[in-house]
Amino acid sequence: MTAAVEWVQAMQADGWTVDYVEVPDVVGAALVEAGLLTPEQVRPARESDRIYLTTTDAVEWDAIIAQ
Amino acid sequence: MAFPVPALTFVRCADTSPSGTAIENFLDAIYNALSAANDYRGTAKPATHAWTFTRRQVLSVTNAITCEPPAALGLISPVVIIAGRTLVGTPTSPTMLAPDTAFNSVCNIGINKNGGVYNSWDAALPMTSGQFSGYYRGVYSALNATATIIRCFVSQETLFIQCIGSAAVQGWMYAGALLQSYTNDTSLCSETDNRIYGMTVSGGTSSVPATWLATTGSMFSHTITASTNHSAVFQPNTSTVWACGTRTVYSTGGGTIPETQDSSGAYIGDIMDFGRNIGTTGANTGTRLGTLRGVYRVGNVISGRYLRSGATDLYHYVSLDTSAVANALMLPAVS
Repeated sequence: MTAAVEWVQAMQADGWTVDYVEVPDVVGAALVEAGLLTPEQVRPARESDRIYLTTTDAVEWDAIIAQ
Repeated sequence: MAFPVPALTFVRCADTSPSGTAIENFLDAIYNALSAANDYRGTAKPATHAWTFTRRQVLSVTNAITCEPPAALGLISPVVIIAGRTLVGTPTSPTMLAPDTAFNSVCNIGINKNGGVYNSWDAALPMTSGQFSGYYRGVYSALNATATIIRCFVSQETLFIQCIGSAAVQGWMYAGALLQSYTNDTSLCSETDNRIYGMTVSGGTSSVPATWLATTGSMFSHTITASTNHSAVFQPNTSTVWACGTRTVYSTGGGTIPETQDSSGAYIGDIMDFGRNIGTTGANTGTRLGTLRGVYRVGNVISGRYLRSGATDLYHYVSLDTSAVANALMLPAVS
């Protein structure tokens, strides 16, 4: 979960503006709690071990969440 | 204790350098080093170390190298993939291993176990089937320079790539069948071939630290911040990836300190025990995984030195400095 939060933070630092992410519930909650995203930007996970992020210009990025 | 898997020995490849500053030039230099027929002394590389290295190009531009160990070993078809592209999000973005993000012109490294035929380096499964680790940023893009020296060491089952930007600015990547587990449990503790697969990198924005032997969370460990040094392996027989790293560092660094030497003063070539990272930089205090194969810590040595018996290489030394002694590791050489 730490890795997923760090990844979203790093994506934002790379200059990407997040439209929404698709993540497991526990990761979504951590992202909201960390102030990185609003609850509206969090959608259900496609896969339990991956995070998908779609930017406001509709580019999709993904990463495997190391445990 | 587990039955030992074969000891790894390394062929040192001849040095190469990128022909330009683009990421494809950097990848070509790695490919040229790995795929050359002869080693750094002009001797033919042995068949036991004959990987299949394939350069993957789009419109004649290299964006990946797939590296497959010798089939005779009977491994679970691991494929190490070294890849990158000038515009990383076009047309599709590669799957990274969090916390690292995909970035333009960065050299990435990942591993696809139980791989099939090549699909695309930025596909969800680059080798069509099996399980993919995702990519870590291997070394930083400042090394995409014609002055960079690429020095590769190839063992039967692993690849060590040393990227020398200047005497004391380097990036290192080590990937393949990295760990030997502590038991023969091929269900939970190792893959069915008794190995644990993964990679360890110095990272996308940082050089190997000068004091890596004595710095917690440094090379061969795991930093939780993106684009820095990381280590990860597959949970055996699953697609889950575990962050991990060495459990120990020395108290005062390399050099003439008792920790690195035996009673005769010789460097012992210390093993590194890996454990799972628990979410804090350098805290690899989770479940024990195994011992790092092929790479042994020594004290302070000039990089590029070797230990020979007559004309036979016994060990290769790798450190952060090519002109002065620095924190070093040793790789057993092919005899």
